[in-house]
Amino acid sequence: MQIVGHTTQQVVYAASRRRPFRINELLLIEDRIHSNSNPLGEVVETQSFNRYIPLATEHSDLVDRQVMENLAQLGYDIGADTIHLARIRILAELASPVSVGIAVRVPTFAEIRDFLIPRDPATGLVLGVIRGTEELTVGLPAQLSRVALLYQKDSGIMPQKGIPYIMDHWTWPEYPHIGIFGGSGSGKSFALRVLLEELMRQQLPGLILDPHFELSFTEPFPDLPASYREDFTRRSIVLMAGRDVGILFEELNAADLINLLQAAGEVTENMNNAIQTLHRRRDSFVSFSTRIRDLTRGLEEEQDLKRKLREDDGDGFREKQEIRRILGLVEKYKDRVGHVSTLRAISRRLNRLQTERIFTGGIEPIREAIMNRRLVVVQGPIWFLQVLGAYVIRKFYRERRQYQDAEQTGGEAPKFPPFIVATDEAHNFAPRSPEIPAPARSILRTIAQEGRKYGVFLILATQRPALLEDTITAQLNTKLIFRTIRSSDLEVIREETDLGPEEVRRLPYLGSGNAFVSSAAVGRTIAVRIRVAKTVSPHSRHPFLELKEDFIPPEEELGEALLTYLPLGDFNFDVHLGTLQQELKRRITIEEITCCLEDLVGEGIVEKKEMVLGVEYRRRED
Amino acid sequence: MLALDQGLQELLITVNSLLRDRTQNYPRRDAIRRYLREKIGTLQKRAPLKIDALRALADGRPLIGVDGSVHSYGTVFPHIIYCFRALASASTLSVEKGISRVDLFYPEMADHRREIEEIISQAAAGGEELAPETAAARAVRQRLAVLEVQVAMEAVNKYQPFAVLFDGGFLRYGGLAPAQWQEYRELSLAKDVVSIGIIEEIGTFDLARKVSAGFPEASPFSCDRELLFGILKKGEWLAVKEDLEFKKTYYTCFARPGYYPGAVAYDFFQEQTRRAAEFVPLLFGLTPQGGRGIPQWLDQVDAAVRITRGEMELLLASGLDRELRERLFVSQRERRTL
Repeated sequence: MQIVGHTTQQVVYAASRRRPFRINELLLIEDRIHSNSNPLGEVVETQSFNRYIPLATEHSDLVDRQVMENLAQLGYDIGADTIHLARIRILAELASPVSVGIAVRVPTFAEIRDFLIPRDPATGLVLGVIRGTEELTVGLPAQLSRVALLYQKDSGIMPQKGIPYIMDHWTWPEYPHIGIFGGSGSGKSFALRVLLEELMRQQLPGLILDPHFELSFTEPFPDLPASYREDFTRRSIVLMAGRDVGILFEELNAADLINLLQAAGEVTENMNNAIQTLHRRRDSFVSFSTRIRDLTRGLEEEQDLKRKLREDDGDGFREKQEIRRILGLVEKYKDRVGHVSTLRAISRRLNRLQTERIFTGGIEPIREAIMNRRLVVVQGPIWFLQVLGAYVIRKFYRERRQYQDAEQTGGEAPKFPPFIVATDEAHNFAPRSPEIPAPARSILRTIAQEGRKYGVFLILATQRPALLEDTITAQLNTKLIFRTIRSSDLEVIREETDLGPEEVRRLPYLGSGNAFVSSAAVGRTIAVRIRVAKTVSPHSRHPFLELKEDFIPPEEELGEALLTYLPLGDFNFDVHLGTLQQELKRRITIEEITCCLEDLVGEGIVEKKEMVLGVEYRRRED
Repeated sequence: MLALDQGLQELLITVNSLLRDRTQNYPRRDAIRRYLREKIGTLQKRAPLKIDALRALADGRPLIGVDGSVHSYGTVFPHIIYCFRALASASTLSVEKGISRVDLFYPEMADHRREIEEIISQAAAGGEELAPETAAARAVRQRLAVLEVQVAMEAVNKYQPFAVLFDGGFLRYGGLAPAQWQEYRELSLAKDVVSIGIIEEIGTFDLARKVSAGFPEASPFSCDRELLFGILKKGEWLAVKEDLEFKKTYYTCFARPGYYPGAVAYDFFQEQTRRAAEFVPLLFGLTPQGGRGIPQWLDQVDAAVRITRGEMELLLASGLDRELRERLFVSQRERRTL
């Protein structure tokens, strides 16, 4: 292998007769001019060609296969005249171009160790293997082997081939936040799972918003070797929004409440004013909604109520007092809350949140998990998570900030640890378009911009990076990019990462589980294959398999059952009907049974005989 | 762009009508085919090449392809440098790993000047007056032929092949390198190596003359190439009768191995005339159907041996002083920029 053709400080071409180049492999360039250390290069494009078997053009036809086969019979090896070419990007800053003609070789592990392994697997996040380092697997020291097993759909679990890719989370205060981009089926969700597993291994506390109900870590990945298994049950907790966690209404201020209501529907300027006017500190859901209900009634029936108050019809004192209270509300707020319809709209939104059980429970379980350095996964419908997430994140971020500021200024504030916020479908939580209401957008943007000071980091996964708020996108210092097809998303990736044109060209064709990691901390793009996860999503069963296993059509179920009662006939139908109904837990008619038995006769499983006592069905003997 | 002169177009039309008149008067295709069958030889359909037959023929030995190329540099005689390269490659190796030889000819070198003078005096003895340029051109052709035959001989000795394919007819070797060619002929016959000259551009007239004689009323064909165009069917070859000696001591047959309607010719040594029936199917099997009619291996040797302009320039830049190059060799034509 040697350097050929034109060279520059950044890009060179290498040619080889014997060895095809591998995409992304690292090669050592034995340059004498830059002698103190041989520069490393990464293969970014490969080609093989044979000048004796040209492409079909108008001047030359394709060479017939038969001709090549006959030549092969005469001992010709086509490979002997094949030339392999590689475009190599140099991973160092050189002062002058690389000399032409010098040798290129595969480096030894020792030569690139410092370059590729920023940390020990024990203290870093082992996400997968670095592609193109397969040849170096043999020389790997024990602590770097078998730390990132791989998975292939057809072949199952596979050994680690290559040098592990270890993400150095200790660089996060300098280079915070992670983006995971990729279309469906690209391996994005799998990567998020692997990354979260690594967070748990390092006991980094995190709040995970899981709109897909898939991020639980109790079920081990099937067929993993015992040495590779890891139990995360004690390091994570799954909470259901609206059942285990919710928002305490009493803790809301008017602004919080408006944010929340926005998630349930548009909040107009009038509604905004009305809420500002009507909400009082420490209001409970009941006190607030009652106030609105009474005021609505008062506005609607003002004349009626006043008349009732005037009439002395002997009605009870209590009712009059109630009417007075309502009219008092009307008096107080009449000119400040606008029309009745505004109040009604507020009520509707409030009720929707209530029905969704947003105001059920509190966020204490989440806080407890974070304090205990666990990963807390909150599952729920996406809009609920938007509301709850915005609230919790804002609250925790504030507490964390207060604690750290107090630490620095010598003040007093309750302890709160650094933590990580992660979510899939991030473009829903922080959409780029300001038109789309998103309660969590502003807090996520704040964390993106200044979270690193307080040790609060984001992990945002999305299949539509183009729809993610752009200030946030710009702050994601590390991006894992999986297969991406949409041109608008590719455009964002082109702008926001250091992926070269060759890599962007490859993005639409990346295999599932393969990604480019563009990281400001490393300063270059690394091609990575994500390791196999140690856990699986509880509902990863194929929906059609589920249909087959759990939703057996009634006639099939009945048929199965009937076979165990054969022989059957007019003479014993009524004998078995009772037990049969008990077994299948439903009502069954004689007609249904006859019909089912006839089907079985048609399928050739059962045969039908005319007997003295009528028809008899028995299992067909072959 | 300057419009093509009207006069030129009219002149071309005259040429066209002349040719049209003549071709209209040619015998019909089936008549020619009948004549070929009756008087010249047999028209044989391609028999598919069986792997076993191929193996039996080769018997574990390789096939050799031989070709040469020459590239000249300079414009005004005698300041022209000729670079030669000949290559004989065995099918068991990469084309580029064959036996290759290079040579150079420059009329100003003492030896080479003597060579030119010798050619002139030989011609004078035969009553021919040769200009030194013409003599030099012949010397160049001779050298190339000698070089090719030399690598062929080396290859036969080194690789023990079962067959050697030459790019071009045997007449050229016999005429330009008689001594070496005789030596090669004896060597290859002794080793039972079958030699075949593949002729892409048939330049002979004998067949045309013979066929035209059979059709006295029709216009005569000008050359074999014209006669055979479109006459053979795809995958067909004309096995010329052994007693029809077109070329002395060689046996030639004609074939159409692919889609292209023109024919190619295969030269054999007369002693190996009988081998043609075995080897033509092999040649067919090695020739891409969509190509020019040249066996693939020979095509690869041809591509490998060719001295390209770029190579030549690199060579000269490293070997000749720039000042000398500019003074003697670089033509004004090369300085054109339009």
